Amino acid sequence: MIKFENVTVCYNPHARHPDHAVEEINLDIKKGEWVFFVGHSGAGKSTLIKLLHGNPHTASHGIHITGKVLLEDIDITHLPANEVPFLRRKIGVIFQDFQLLAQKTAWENVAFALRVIGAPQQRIAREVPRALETVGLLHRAQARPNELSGGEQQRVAIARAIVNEPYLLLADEPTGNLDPETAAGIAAVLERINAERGTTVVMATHDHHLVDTLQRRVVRLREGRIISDEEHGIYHPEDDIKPSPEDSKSTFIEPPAKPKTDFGDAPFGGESLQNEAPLGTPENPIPQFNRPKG
Amino acid sequence: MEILGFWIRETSSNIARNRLMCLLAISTVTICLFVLGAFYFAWGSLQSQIGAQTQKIDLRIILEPSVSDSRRDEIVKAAHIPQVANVTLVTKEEALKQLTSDINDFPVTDLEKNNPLGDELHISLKDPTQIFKVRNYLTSVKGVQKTLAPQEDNVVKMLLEVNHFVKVAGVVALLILGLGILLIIHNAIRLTIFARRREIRIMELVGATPWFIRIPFLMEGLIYGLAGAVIAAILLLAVLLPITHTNTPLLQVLIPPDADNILRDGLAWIILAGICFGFFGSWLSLSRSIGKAVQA
Repeated sequence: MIKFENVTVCYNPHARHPDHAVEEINLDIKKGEWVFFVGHSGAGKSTLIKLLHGNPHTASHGIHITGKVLLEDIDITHLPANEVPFLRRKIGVIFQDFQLLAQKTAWENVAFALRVIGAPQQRIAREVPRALETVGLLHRAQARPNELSGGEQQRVAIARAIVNEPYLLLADEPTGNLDPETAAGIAAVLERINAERGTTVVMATHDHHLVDTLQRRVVRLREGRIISDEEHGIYHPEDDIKPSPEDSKSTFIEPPAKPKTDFGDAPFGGESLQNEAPLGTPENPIPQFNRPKG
Repeated sequence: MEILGFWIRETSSNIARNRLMCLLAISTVTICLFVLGAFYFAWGSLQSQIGAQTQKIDLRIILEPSVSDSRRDEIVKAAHIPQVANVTLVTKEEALKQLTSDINDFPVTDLEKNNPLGDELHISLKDPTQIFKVRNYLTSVKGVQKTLAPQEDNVVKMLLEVNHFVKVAGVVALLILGLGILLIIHNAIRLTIFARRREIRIMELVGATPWFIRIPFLMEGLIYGLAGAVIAAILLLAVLLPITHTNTPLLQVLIPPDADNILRDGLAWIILAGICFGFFGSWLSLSRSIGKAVQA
């Protein structure tokens, strides 16, 4: 379904020191699969997500892309600008900051995604409640974002992403602003969508709890290159700081030690991840998810 | 219909959120178009007055008596320049006949053999303001003895000068005020785009086409232009209609008989100008501001 063929993305290609966001990426993602892109900040996770979403920046002059990203056998790396909106109608996307419209209710936020593509009212009336029900928020349909918790806001964003029945759901750090419990709830919703609707899920994340719990396919990136691709992987963020022996060819340079802050090493605030007990211990139990059968 | 409904709701929401800027934009457009409309009326009235004066006096071109028939035909052809509406040839025989009918006891027997009169061309103009240009041209044609200057030369000259001044002032006003209208609408739309950058970004993310995103902003610009134009037209009507139907002798001299037509045309132009300025003002904002706002 998705195929990265030797993809390299270079920012400022004409500068003295061009910035290679990702290099020589080769990847195959099957329909209905769930794939995590993990790695430290700047590893290239978001670049891959943007590539899949036909981001307008990819068409600008400051970026040079080689290779192909095939989505349903269509090369989307050099898609004409007028075809990008039609590609995006088949792809749902969610972000860390939810991107909801504050003055609209949950129902209106979800309906907005259908209205702006000119969907008829009957379809909106049919699909919006269905999407809200899928994320478990039908009872909060008339609430505005400021009346919803972070987790609920992210569920509204998910409902908006799936309301047009996309075959691909992209998630860029969707749990970055949420506590582990809420993040587990979001993951459960995404699992349900993946299982029930057969939607392919590609998620860029730092959240090792999520990755370790779900044990789905994990593609680890470092310095813009894929360093591992495991079918049922887990994620150790500390591996991104210390180069592993098998990465001896990598030009990765160990970053200087981070200054200790109140926020610890959590990517976007919150509790320190380094001081946590190992996953699965009574101090840090594995959250329960509804795993699809088969 | 649903899409149109969406655009109308979005446009109304844009305007409602940006009330102060909307008020400023519409009032600026109103003032500018009112001034432009007043210029148009003054210029149209002067044009009409000049036309009325110059149409009374078609140009008369007297050819040299020695001009051959073939040369005369060439001159007639040469007189058909774009500024000329009609050329009538009065031959010297016809001129003599006219003279004898005008003066009953005129001794024609000798003159028929040796006619001292020349052939004449009577020329009417499409645009009366071109009278001096056409006269100069025809005087320079070989075989033309003289052009008969209109008796009201001085009046026409003065009217033409005033007309020229009004025209130049009108063009300058059009440029300055037009630029003002464009800038104010451009700025109003830019602010709306900035205020709605989040919605625009979400629209892009979920697959709205660029045109779908732009149309509410174009509609907003059109509404500013049109609303300003309609108010300016109503104000102009309120001010000028009493003047065109006045009984004051001085104003009756200044206001041409077809003042109502000039006013009607002027109002139509104002509405059209409002629509155009509104459209282009918002168009100017769209391509750059949307990209910038989304990236902000």
